[in-house]
Order: sequence, then structure tokens, then C-alpha cells
Amino acid sequence: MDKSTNQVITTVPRSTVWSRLIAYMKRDWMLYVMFLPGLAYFVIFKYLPMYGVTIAFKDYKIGMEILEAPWVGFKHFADLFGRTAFQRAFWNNIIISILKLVVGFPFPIILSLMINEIRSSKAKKFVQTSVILPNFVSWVVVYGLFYAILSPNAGVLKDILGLFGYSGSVPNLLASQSAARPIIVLSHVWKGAGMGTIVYLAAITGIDQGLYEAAAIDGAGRWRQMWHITLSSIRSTIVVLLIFRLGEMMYAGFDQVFVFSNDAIISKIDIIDTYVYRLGLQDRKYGISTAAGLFQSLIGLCLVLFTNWIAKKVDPDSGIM
Amino acid sequence: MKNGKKTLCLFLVLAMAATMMSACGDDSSNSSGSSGSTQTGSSGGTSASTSEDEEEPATVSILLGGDNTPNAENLVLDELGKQTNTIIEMTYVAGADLATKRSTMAASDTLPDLFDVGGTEAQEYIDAGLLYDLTGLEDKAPNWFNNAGDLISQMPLNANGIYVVPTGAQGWADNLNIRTDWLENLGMDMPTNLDELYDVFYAFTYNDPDGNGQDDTFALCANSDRRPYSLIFGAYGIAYDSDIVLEDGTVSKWVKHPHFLEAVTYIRKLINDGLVEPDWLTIPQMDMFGKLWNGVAGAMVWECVGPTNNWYPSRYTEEVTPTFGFATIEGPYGDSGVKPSFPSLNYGFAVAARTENIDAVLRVADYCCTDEGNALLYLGVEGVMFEWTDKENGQYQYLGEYTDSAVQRAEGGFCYHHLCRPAINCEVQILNAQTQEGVQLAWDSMITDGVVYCYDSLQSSIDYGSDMDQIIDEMWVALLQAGSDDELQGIYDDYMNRWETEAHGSEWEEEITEWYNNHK
Amino acid sequence: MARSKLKPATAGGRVGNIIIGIFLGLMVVITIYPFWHVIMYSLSDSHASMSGGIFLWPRDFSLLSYQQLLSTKQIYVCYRNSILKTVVGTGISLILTALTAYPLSLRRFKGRNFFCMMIFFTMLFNGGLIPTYLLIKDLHLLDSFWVYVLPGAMSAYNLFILRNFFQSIPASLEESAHLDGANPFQILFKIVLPLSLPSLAALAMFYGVGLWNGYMDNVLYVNNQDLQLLQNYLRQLIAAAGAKSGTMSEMSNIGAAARLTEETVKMTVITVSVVPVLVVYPFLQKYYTKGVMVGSVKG
Repeated sequence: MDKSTNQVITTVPRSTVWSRLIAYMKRDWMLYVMFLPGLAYFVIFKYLPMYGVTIAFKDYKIGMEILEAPWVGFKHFADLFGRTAFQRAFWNNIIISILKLVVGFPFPIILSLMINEIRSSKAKKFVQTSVILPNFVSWVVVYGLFYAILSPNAGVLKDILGLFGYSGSVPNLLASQSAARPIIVLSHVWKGAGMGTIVYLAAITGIDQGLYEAAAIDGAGRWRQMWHITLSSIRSTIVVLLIFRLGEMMYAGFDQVFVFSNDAIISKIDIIDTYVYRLGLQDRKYGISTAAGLFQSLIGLCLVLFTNWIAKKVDPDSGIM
Repeated sequence: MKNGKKTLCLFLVLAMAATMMSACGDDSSNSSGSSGSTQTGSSGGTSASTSEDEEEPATVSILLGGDNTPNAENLVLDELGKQTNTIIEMTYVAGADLATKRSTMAASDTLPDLFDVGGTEAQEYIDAGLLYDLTGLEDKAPNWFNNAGDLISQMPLNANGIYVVPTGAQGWADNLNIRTDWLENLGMDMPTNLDELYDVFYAFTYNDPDGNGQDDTFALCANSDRRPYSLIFGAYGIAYDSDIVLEDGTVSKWVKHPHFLEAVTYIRKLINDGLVEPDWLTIPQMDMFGKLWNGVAGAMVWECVGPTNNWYPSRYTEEVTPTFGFATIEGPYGDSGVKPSFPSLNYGFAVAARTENIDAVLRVADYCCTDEGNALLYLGVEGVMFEWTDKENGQYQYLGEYTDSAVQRAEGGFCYHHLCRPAINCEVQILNAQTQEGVQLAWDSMITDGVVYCYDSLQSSIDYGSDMDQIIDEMWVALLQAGSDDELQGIYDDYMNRWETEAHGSEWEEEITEWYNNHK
Repeated sequence: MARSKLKPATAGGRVGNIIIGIFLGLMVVITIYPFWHVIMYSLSDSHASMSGGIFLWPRDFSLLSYQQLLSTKQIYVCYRNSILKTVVGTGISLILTALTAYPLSLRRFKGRNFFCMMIFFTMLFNGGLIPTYLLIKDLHLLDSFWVYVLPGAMSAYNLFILRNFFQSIPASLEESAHLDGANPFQILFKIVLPLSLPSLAALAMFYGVGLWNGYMDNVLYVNNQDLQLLQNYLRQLIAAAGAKSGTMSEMSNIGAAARLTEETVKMTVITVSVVPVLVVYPFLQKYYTKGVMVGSVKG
């Protein structure tokens, strides 16, 4: 008896959920058909291999089936967090990420607003194209350029200072602990700003031009138009990009730091990714590097959920889900 | 109209589906095609192994890392196939990607027939049964096995069979290359001890050694590595970056050598007096070389193969090509020498257990390890791409369009020369006379007393090796950058304390000392 | 454009113009210069450029490195593959992303929060190298052209950006079409996409650049050199010149006969790989500068 009542209780809501779902599916079946290829893509290419994250909790060695490798619990995490050098990398990572966020996130927005103010369409195209150029120059070459400019021995900076009559010694900024982080942040902003403007410019272009006309008739000046129409129209884009940016907080730019790093400043700029990379040089250490990646992603997830929640509180239509 | 839209939409969806389907369809056909090619290889293999019918060439797949860009099909691979009655399927990836490529292939059991591997990675492959046990097959590749000789059995990897065959190559050791034309200009002799070395370096920096009337030179090329000071450390009896036996019998890092700080003090004097590359901390490697090539610096520690052979004379930009000599520097305690390099006992070429034609693979490995095979891989096809003018003395010339190294490499020359390379190889044989002398000098002056070459993978070093190395690297730079010599001891103690505790250096010391005592 | 005519030319506006002008001028200089440096270096004689410093013009103009680079057969094979990959890949990616983003932008699409969460998750978590490789192997995509375009066909990042753009289109347009009996495919292709050209152009840029620059798929999944990609080819060419690598023997005769240094080769390689992007970019850029008048589009 008990069993059957249980069954009745569970099946009733189930059937309603099902029937409601079927009703939705019937109504919008074409939407679901449309969505199907994308869903299949994410299931096949992203979710099927997802079991690989279990390596973080296993003693995996090449030649084993991942699923059959022995479980070791949180051993790799404990190992990683117990290392003093990892703790150093962790804090550096946070500091560099925050600096990059604070300086680097608003910059493309400001840049896009300014580009949008250019009236000559030729000049506009020219500026737009030129700001994306640094994106295509690899970090190795960027370092070469920084070296050519900042070298205290033969750098351009020294020549420029010489023009102003300064002949004293120039500090080697690339090897200076106090300059290390600012250089990392500024070169990051400079290299990424152009690509960052693309989305914002697309969003600005998508704004209904009628809004500006109406505002101008109401007597709104350029700054008020910029603030009330342009910025507020691309606000949701900004929020989405900000949320994504926070998700990547724990990835502070491996290629860049790897190239700019030297043993005089590494204590200031060593980040999680460069540290884990060095660990892997000795022995591939699949467990530890997967654990580190999982840790980075989990922190990212928390930050994203938190900001998304705040964004929803402020404006129910914003946020990513 | 509406119908038109509908069909359009339908068409798009169908197109999407078709693309996906065709993608998969194409793949399966494609993969069956590629597996077909390996099939032909294996069928050729079985026929070759079961009978003496050698006519049908077998396919041999090879994975090799290297930074060149040969054509997909090229003369060298064709010739290699012809010589060994095989079809070579070469997978050639950038050196930086090799380890990733190899381990994914291993994880999915798609390893190629022949590839190089070493260290703990090789041990994992052996444990997983991925490598072919070559025991008993020595006769089928006599050159390959004889080249490595006793080293094979000494390798820990080969404790239970023959899985990895090392190259047996010694590896270059360092020379202190000093510009003899500058010495002549200054009326000085080749330095033989640390005081003379200082004087020469001083004159190279401040006495206008190139006679152009400008103060635009310095003495020693350097970056933040220890290598530029190899001979200075040697003069204090220290083999930098090596593991050494201390007086009390424990084995530890080179920085624990009793004269280490003394050597550092000398090096600091060179740096502080401006005799060394001023941007040593941040200079990119190519720029460092450039200083030598442009005639800005007059000395460099590097295997002389660079300065007097490979870079000679095309790299040098001055009107008169510089001349070099090799110095030997004696220290206050009568020591001299350079860091030793040992033939690897932890790395080599291996054959995959899944290979379907072991005979053909061994033929390829064996041929590559012969003089003519290595010359094929290094210089190209003889008679087509190059010819020997005096083979005894390693004199050769490229032919026709192959004098252009880009063309030579596009046809496969040079790209694969490290494939199963013999210890005395083409690269060594074609060195010029001065360089051969310099190479011999460097080998003769290697410091081996008290140096421990641990070829086993110690657990503490697998776990904490990179942490230990990093602390020593940072200490090295901190010592060179310290405000005064009085601070050195304090900095040293500080970092070494961190090394012992944070980086688990003491554990490693115990383990390697025990290992050393067992392997004396 | 109507808008610029309407802007009042007040004193404040003029000062603003000057500030913006100076700022953007500086920005242009510091962003163009590095690339200019690369091009000029690649056009200089190797020996003359070895002293480093700033390159405003080529020193001892020389096309030697281009001759060397473009003289081999393989580079044209690689060019073909890379162009094909980028064109086909961008097409597939755009269609797939649009089809997926559109339902997610609609409130009436039930389960969209779940799907969003599910897709977002893939931005942060992935299975890693080995499981992905095994999957590709099981799908028989190894050594096939499709491995370049299918596994990376969609990026969650781009998907969300496009969804966000779709959401900014006034819902009334879509609703009235819906009530008129238009089906979702018709609405997407006839109304939504034409209104989203700027964002599609931006997306095409992101996908295109990603596809063009990617080389790891080549390294891992493709052994056949007839399918080699340009970036992979160039990578091998310049790896020896990398700041922290550079082994002796690899360096020994790259330019022994030709007086070329690795730096010059590197600069040439960068130029050769970026120029196609710069040629295509203006065509996409057109769509940003146009602007959209929502009212002018009829449902």
C-alpha cells in the first residue's frame, strides 16, 4: 500500500511537469529544433570529455584509463596549497588580476566612446584599425620592444632623457620589483584594448539613431548624450563582459608573464599558471595541474555567480542567466 | 513568398545538418583512408617479417620535434625510405609542442613506431606496456645498439628489458671564447688566471680594443644565467648547476661549495666595474649573441661550435671577421675547468609496442645511426644536395640550389638529423679544425671530481625539483644585485634556509646522498 | 550622418574634441608603432638591424627574408589550408551561434536559464587535453580537415555576446512578427539578423582571428602535412628564435648562406601572418560605421 501511494504522489507532479513541458515544446517546437545543433555541440564537444576533471582527484599516469585511475581524494590540492611558492603565486595572481581589471576593463569602453565621437568616417576607420594592431604582435616581440625602449644601456628612453640633458644612470625598469606589476598591467591594457573595443563599438552602432535625434531636440549636449544614451544603451553589454572578465580572474596572463619574467622580479609577478607550468617541467604532474585548473575555475565560478546575482538585483534584465 | 521563406529556412537547417553529417561522413572515409595506409604498411610488414620477400616497402611512422619547415614530401625522406625499403610517415612538430603531442598519443594508444622519450615519462610508458622490449633484437640494428654500447644496460629505464636506446653523445662543454684580434691590438696575452682575466676584461672595456677611438665595447657577453661565468666558477673548483659531494660526504647543490661566495664576489666585481653586459638581467638571448656578432663584446662563454664554426663567418658584421682563442683560467686554489656534460642515461629513442613491423623500424633506426645515414639527415642526399670534397676531413659542399639553406631544409636536409643520431655524428665531423680543438679542450677540462651525476628520477626531485631550482635562481640574482659584499652571507643564509625548508631541500639531500652511496 | 549635424558646436564641445583628438592621436601612435617596427625590421638587412633600437624606416632595404619565406612550396599549402579553415570555420560558427543564441534570447523559450547555465559552465570547466583527444579520435576526426572547424565551432563567450545583442532588439518587433504567424527561422533570418549586422561582424572578427591564429588543433590532431596550417608552419620557423629557447644546433645555419638572422625571419613571419587579417578587417569594419535605424526595418 505504502509503495503505491508513494508512487501516486511522485507521478502526479511529474506528469504535470511533463505535460507542461510537452505543451511548451509543442508551442515552440521550432525554437527547440533551432537550438538542437548548438545543444548537441556543447554536449558532445564540451560535456563528453568533462570526466577529465576527475584527474584532479586521481593518481593518473599515462597508459591508464582515466576512469580507472586510483582515487586519491584531495591529495593534489593539499600538495599544491602547502607549497610556499604556490601561495606567493596565488597572491601575486590576485593582485595582478585586480589591477588588470581596474585599469584594463574600463579602458576599452572609454576608448570606444571616444572613437565613436570621431566624425570623419575615414579617420574613424583608421583609428579603429590601428588600435587592434598590438593584438597581433606576440608577447615575445612585445618584450623585445619594451627591452629596446627601456634598456638602461642602449634603450630609446635613455636617448630621450639625454635630449633633455639628463645623463645620469637610468634604472632598469624591466628588472625593478616596484615597476614590474605596473609594466605588466600597462602592457596588458595596451595590447588588449583594441580588440576590447570591437564589441562595444558594435553595440554602439546598434543603438537606434532616433534616440540621439530626440535627445538633441530636447537640448542634450554631447556629454549628456554620451552618458544617457550611449553608455546606458551598452550597459548590458558591459555587464556581460564584466561578468566574463571576473570568471577569468584567476588566469592572469601566462604568455605575458612568462616572457616578462626574470629572476629579479619573479617574486612580484609569478602567477598560478607560470608556477604550475614550472612544476610540470620537472614531471608532467597531471594531477596537480588539473587540480590547479579546477581551483582557478571554481573561484571564477563563485565570482561570476556573485556578480550575476548583484547584476540581477540591480536590473532583472541584465546578467548572463 | 511565404513559402519561399519557409523553404529557405528549411534549406538552411538541412544545410547545417548536411555539413555536420558530411563532416562525420568525410571523417570516417578519411580515417578509413588513413588507417588504410597504415594497413598497407602492416600488410607489407607482415609479408616482410614472415618471408624474406623484401620487395614491398613497409610503413614506418616517426614522431620528431624540431623547428624547421620541410615540405610534406621531400628528397631526404624519400631517400631514407629507399635506403631502408620503407615508406616513412614523418610527424614533425615544433620542439615546444613535442611533449604534449607525444603524451596525448600515448594516452590514446596511437604512438608512432619510433620516437624519443625520457625520464619519468618513459618510465610511465614502460609501466603501461607502451614500449617495445628490444631484448634479443640487437643483431637487427647493430649500428644503433653498438653506438650506445654499455650505456643501454646502465640506464635505469632498461632495468627489465631494453626499451630506450640512448644516443651516447657526450654533449658540448663550454669554452671561454676570447677575441684574439683584440688581444693583439692591446698587446696582451691570452689570460691564464683570474687576475689576468680581470686585466684583459678591463682592457676590453676601457682601452678601446677595436681601435675605433670610441668607448663602445665591453668584455663579456652575459645574461642572468650562470653559464657566462662557467670558467670563473671552474677556477674556484665549482661545476655550476651540478650536484656535488661536500666534505662531510653529503651530496648537495653546487651553491654549497665552500668557495661559492668567493666566486660570486669575483663575478660581482666584474659586473660592478662594468666589464660585463650591462643589461645582463633582461637581455633576450638573441640580443646577447648580437653583442658578440657586432663587435661590442670581446668574450663569450659558449661551446666554441657557435663562435668559431656555425656563426663563422656569416654572423659577424664587422668589416674584418674577428678571430677567437680559447682560454683556460686557473684559480687561487689551483683549480680550473668547466661544468661537465655526461652522455644521457635517462633519455633516448624508443619503439612503440604497438608497432606492426619491428624489422622495418629497426632498419630505419640502424640506418640513421650510420655515418651515411646521419649525413643524409644532416646535409641531404649525397650527389644531389651535397657532395664530399674531402670526406676524411669533413669537407663538403652543397650543390646547386641547395647552397641556399632554406631550399636545403625544405627538401628535408638538417631537419631530422637528431633521429637516432650516432655519438660521433656528421655535425661533429664537419667542424673546422680550430673548433674540433676547442671542443676537445672543453671536454678535457670538465670538472668531474666530486660531481655527482644522478640519472635516476628521485622522488623528492620529481616533487620539489622546480621549487628548489627557483629559489637558487632567485638567490643567484639577489647575490649579484646585493648592495655590498658584506650582505652576501646574509642573503645566502636566508635563501638557503628557505631552500632547505620551503622547497624540501634537506629531504632531497638525504635521498640523493643515499643514492650516491649506493651507486659509487 | 544625421547625428553629427545635430550636435551643437559649443565651446565645451570644441575642448572635448581637442582632448579626444590628442588622446586618440597618442593611442594611434603607440598602437601602430610596434607593428610598424615589425614591418620595417622585416624589410631591413639582417646585419644592419642587429644593433636594435627604433625602426622608423628600413635600414638597408632588403626583401631577402620574404624571398626565403615564400620560396618554399609548403607555405602555399599552409596558406590554402588556413584560409579554407578560417572561411569555412567562420561560416559554420556564425550560423551555429546565431541559431543557438536566438532561442536563448527569448523569454518564452522555456529552460533557457538552465541552458545558459549549462553553456556558461563550459567557459570555466573543461575536460582537458587527453579526454578531448580521445573524443576526437572516437569521432574519427583525427587527420581530417573538419577537426579544424568542428570542435571549436562555438565559443560560449561569443554566444552570450550575440544573445545579448539579440535581446537589445526591441521585443515588439519580434512579437508582432510572431503574431503575424512568422516562424522563428523567418524571424531570425529576416528581422533579427539584418538588425544585428554590427554584432555579427564583430563576432566574425573574433571567430576569424581565433581560427586564423589557432595552431594547437594542428599540432595535436593532424599529422598529415598536407593539412598543415600557416600558424603551425610559422611557429616552427620562428621557434628557434624564441626569447628563451634557441638551441645551438637549430640556430647553426638558418641563414648561414643568406645572411638572415632569426629576428628578421621572426618579423617577416609576423607580417606575413597578420597582413591577411588586415586585408579582411575593413570589410567587416564597414558594418560598425553604418549604424542601424530600427524604425526603417519592417517586420
